[in-house]
Amino acid sequence: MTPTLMQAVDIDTVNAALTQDSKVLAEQFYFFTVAIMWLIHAGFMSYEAGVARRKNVMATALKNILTIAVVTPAFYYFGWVIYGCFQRGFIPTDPWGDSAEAAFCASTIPWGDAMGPNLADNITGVFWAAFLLFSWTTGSILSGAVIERIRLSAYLILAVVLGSIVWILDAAWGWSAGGWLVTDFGFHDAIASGVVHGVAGIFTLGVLLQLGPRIGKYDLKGRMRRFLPHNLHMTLLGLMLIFAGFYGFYAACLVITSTAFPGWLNIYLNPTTLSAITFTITVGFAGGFIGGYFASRGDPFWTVSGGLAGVISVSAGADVYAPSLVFLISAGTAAIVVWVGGVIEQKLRIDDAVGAVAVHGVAGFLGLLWVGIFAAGYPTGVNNVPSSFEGQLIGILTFFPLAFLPGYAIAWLLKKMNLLRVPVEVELEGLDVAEFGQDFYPEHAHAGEKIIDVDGTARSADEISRQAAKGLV
Amino acid sequence: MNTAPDSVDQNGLTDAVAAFFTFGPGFTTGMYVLTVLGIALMALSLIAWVHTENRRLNEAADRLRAANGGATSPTEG
Repeated sequence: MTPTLMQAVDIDTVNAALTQDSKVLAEQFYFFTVAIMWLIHAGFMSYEAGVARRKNVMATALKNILTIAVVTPAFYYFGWVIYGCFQRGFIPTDPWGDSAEAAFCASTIPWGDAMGPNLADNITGVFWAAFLLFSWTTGSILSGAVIERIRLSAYLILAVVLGSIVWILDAAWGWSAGGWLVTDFGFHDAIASGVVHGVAGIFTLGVLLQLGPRIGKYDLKGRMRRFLPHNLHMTLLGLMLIFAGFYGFYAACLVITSTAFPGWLNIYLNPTTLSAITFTITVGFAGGFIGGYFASRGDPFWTVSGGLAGVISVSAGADVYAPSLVFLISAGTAAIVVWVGGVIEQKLRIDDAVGAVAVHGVAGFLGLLWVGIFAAGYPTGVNNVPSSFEGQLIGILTFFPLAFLPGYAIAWLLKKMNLLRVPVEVELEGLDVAEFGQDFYPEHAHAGEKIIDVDGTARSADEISRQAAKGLV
Repeated sequence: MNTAPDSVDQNGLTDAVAAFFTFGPGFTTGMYVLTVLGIALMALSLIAWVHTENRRLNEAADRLRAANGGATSPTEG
């Protein structure tokens, strides 16, 4: 007798099919967030190459591309296992234990079962790749600030440390369901205001303090010069690409659970929806543009950067904020960031070519603080520990030195070894000719550059080069 | 789960090579060796980047100093 449909399909079969379908859906989801997040890096490359003067375009662009070359293997061999095994502090989890934490730790070991082709594991590869893209982003945040005078090799070393050790250690502590900041203090940074942007921005500050400004940026009379982008279209297109990629970044910060209500969890395994964070990111951009525009009195650079700062400032609470609150926070933070950016550049005389310390560092850490003020009491993590002002403050006090000290110390070491900054003659001539042996805009005449000397007088770069040759610079 | 092609009818040497170099179960000698080789390549490429760039920048700086009437200084970077 032919079985009926109900007889042939038992509940276990349906369950197995749903489980498999859910796994493949999750696999596809993260795969495509990774593809979208590549736009962030295309954007950073375009943005920074556009901001650079024409003599440094290729050096700037290639620096971004090579971030991928060095951070990827480092994150495969070190970064992911730091995330998996160091969630309780500096002492690693025993991967051979019986707990879920131990099993996750074991799955991140680069020579283990999960870190390669495995028919029983659809998720590790795509989840690892999503985190890797966050790592590239940290490198790109550093990259823009240090353009036109850092050595490529020095940048690559710093990017490896930031992208594969520093940020991922703070993510293990404060951006995972098992991290000690989460389980003990209810630390809440849902879409990585602090763990990605804040930490990368403050690491960058440490590097900039050692690197120093570009030649001609400041004089002894307290004046400064603004180096204008060589290609404004490229710069603005880059920022728009970054914004598009941010949607992938936001989505990748969620855990998809398509067969269980409500279908999505945040990184701490608390329920949320993709729709919730879509409100936040979209309104956050709008508020940020408004804050940036009015605080800078219409300055194009700070208007667009304000959008980025706005989104970063609401990312920590993106899963719980009301859109109107997002609008207010993002506009207010963008205005603060514009002001801080001015202080950093003009008062502190730190030459941050793209405002990374203010846009990412300040907005990122303020984003952590806003959660403590506006979303205190919200249950965070599998133990539902309430978020709090104190918990957020502990996170900030943990992350700040964790970010600043390695950047400052490694840049100091490279400087002592004379490996941090290009020679003065090369900086004046431009990095492209020295690094690649050619001018990449041969059809455009290389106009003699005027440099504002420390005494405030405008002199030609050639004249300063001649002085440098005689040891007078 | 082992995805190495051990069920394919191949001669013994080919099987052994494939089993060593392709990703089967983790924690095997092949995976350890490949991991060490990968880390070595990563570290050596960074060191090579530092040396290559240092030499290139020194040469460029020397060329520019000479063009501007100064003495060359091969150790200065």
